[in-house]
Amino acid sequence: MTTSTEAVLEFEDTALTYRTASGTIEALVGVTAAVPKGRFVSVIGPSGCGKSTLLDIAGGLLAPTSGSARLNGEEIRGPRRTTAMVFQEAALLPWRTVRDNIAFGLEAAGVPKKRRRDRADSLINLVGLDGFGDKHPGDLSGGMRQRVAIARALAVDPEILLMDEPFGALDQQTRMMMGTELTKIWERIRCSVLFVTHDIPEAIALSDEVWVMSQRPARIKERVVIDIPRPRGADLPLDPRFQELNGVIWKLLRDEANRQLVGSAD
Amino acid sequence: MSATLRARRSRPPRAGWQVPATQAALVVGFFALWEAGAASGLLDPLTWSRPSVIVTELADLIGTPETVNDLAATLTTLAAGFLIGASVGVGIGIAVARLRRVQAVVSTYLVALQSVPLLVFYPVLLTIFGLNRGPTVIVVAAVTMVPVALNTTAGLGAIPRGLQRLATSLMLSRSAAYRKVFLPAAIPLIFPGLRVGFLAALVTTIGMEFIVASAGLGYRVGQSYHTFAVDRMYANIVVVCVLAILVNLVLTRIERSLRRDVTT
Ligand SMILES: Nc1ncnc2c1ncn2[C@@H]1O[C@H](COP(=O)(O)OP(=O)(O)OP(=O)(O)O)[C@@H](O)[C@H]1O
Ligand SMILES: [Mg+2]
Repeated sequence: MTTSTEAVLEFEDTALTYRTASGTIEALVGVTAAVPKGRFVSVIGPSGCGKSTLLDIAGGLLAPTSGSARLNGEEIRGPRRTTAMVFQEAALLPWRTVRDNIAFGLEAAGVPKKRRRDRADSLINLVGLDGFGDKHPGDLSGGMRQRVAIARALAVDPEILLMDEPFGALDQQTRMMMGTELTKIWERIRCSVLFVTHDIPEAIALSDEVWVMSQRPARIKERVVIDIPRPRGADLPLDPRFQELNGVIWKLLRDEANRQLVGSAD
Repeated sequence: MSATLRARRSRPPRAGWQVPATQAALVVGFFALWEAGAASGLLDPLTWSRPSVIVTELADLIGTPETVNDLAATLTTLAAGFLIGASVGVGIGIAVARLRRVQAVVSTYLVALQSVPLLVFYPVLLTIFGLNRGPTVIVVAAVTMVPVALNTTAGLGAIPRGLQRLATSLMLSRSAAYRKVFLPAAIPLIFPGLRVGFLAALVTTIGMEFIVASAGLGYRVGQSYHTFAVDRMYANIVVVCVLAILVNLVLTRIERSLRRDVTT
């Protein structure tokens, strides 16, 4: 992690307040940070602090109440085809085959049939689903479905990939395997990623940088650079630096949890 | 609605040969008893006719211009009413699902409408449209529309949030979102609505033909009754039953193949 490269996604004093019938909820207050081009950045923070909100702003699904969010220097004003999202629920179309699900983003973008088929086939290979192209999502396990969702997102060759706890619904075993798998895939393609997670080891293993958020109303409490060289092997959890960083992030999150306990005791 | 949902979850276990064999035996036994009863004079032939006679009558009936004409009349009324009702129903269902605020008001009317025998409005329609196929088609369309609209609204209301976000993040146009994501995702609920609608359409078509038609299977059953042509009446009843069973079978097939594609 040497010098700062060009930023793909920038938040500048980004704030968002939800207005509901029962009042207002300040989710984010003054988030300032940037995802450098070609880097993998994770966001970790207490439950309900506003991680998904931040991601939705990046994806153009929500507009900040104040401050700005920019993609490649341009203000984000709504969803765009070059921003791909992966959610906790794989959100696949069960009536389509794996191949046609992967091609769906390209289809929405008007890519001709032949080209999107070829692209889908190469992604099937990338995410390790060879031989499953003609199956339907109903025939797949949870982990495999999430691979399809990742392939669909990558198929459009996005400027940035936004992932909101994509492995959150998987069992621990599958989750770890998917983490390793995603690291491998990412090390091959090196796209810019903003990845939301609850899981500290997962964040460290995948990322170049981890943003630790404070409790709500959230800001970025600390940016932790993960200076573990790549490619990272399966024995990563045994690496002393890994354990050290794990401790650092754990303490940051614990302090937030304590603050919340004290706050609610008032 | 919840009954259809529950029924869909639990598929009955695959039956062996015993079940169909028992069913066939029961049918054969029923007709044998009927035939025996009629032959022995226990059953009045003027009320009950007789299976063997009905079969002969049926054989005479099939292929005659009159029957072809009746069948065509019934099927066109049914098809026109059903298709109009189903399209309008899906349209209303979409509109109601989209307009959250209107939803509470309109769905109450739809539910209420579901319990009204719309058939009773036929005299009003007769005075408006005159004595032709129009009123029948309208009533058939109305009875189809109600369950289709209700189920479409329910199906669209149950679209997973993930699919909604997908449609938004891929910037699908409204019509593409409905064509490619929302309506297919709602099919497991829309289809039972179409089925209920179809059965209502069939009953209403035949019923309306009793009352206002000059052709059609319902009309022919009624007319045979009024002219004491009991055997012909039964033969036509058989045609109605066979038609209903066949169409229902086709619907089941379609539904099964759709469901295989649609459910996760
Ligand atoms: N549409 C909404 N309307 C009102 N409040 C909302 C809305 N969406 C989220 N919130 C609130 O804003 C806060 C932040 O929500 P958000 O989903 O961004 O948190 P999160 O960090 O992703 O949570 P989790 O860890 O549970 O995924 C929460 O308190 C939540 O209740
Ligand atoms: Mg969240």
